[in-house]
Amino acid sequence: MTAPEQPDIDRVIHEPARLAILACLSAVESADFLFVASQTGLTRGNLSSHMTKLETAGYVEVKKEFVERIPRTLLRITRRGRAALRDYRRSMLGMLRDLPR
Amino acid sequence: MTDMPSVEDIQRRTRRSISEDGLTELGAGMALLVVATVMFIAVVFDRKLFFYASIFPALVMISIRSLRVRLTAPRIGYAEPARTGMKLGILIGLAGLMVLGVAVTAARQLLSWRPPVWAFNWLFALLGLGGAAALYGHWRETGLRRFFVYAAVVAASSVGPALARLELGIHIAVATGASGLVMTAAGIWWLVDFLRRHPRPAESPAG
Repeated sequence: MTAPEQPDIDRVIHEPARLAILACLSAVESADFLFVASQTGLTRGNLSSHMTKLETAGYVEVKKEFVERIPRTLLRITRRGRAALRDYRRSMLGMLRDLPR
Repeated sequence: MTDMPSVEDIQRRTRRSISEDGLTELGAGMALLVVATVMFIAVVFDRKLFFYASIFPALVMISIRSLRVRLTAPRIGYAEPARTGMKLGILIGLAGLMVLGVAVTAARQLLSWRPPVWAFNWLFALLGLGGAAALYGHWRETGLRRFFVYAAVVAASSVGPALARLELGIHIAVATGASGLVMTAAGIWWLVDFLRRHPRPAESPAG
């Protein structure tokens, strides 16, 4: 008897904190650490650790820019990140639809 | 964080946070008041200061951005709003105005046709309704009810004078003045409320 096929879920996004980060960044052009932390309820350390994983996966980019002559570290969701979030949402909805009543 | 968050809730809350400081409506309100003042001076004193009506609003919006960096960002962080909807809106608006301008000019040159005076009133009313639609859309995106109120004020103040057949200069002054007053006053109120609810974090001690 063969093992049942595991659903194809993106494990990078499937973590609640990282899903919240991507959801927040998908609603803006860019945001700094304080803004994302205040929207997601994560501590700066926690946020930093999850951002590293998202950056490694190519879903977000981190850039240092000047805003009104003040240096800021801005976070931005990439096109790949938007596509991954869209696909994740689609697969989760598909899984829920296939659940027996 | 252990429960799976609602993506839509977070997106809505994020867009709401960007607008809760009141600076969006304060900037738009002040820009409208400048236009209203210039039109009022043109109608009453016959002095044409349209140059200021064209550059001052841009200066106001730049100042508002600077205020957002210095007042809002230290309290809740800094975010640039997503611009997709606005870019599309501006593109459609500019394209529409260009097509209309070419059509009216061609009609005047080729057919010696002059549009009736009331047409300009209704053109301005259409512009106002476009602005009201943008504010309505912002309410739908953020859930901030006050943007629905602003949309209603802008729509009423744009269409009302056209229905009353006011002279174009007075129409523009009334429409921009009424909308500008409401949005500026509301913007100041919400800014004060925001600063009260989000006190500036204490500076961390040196060393």
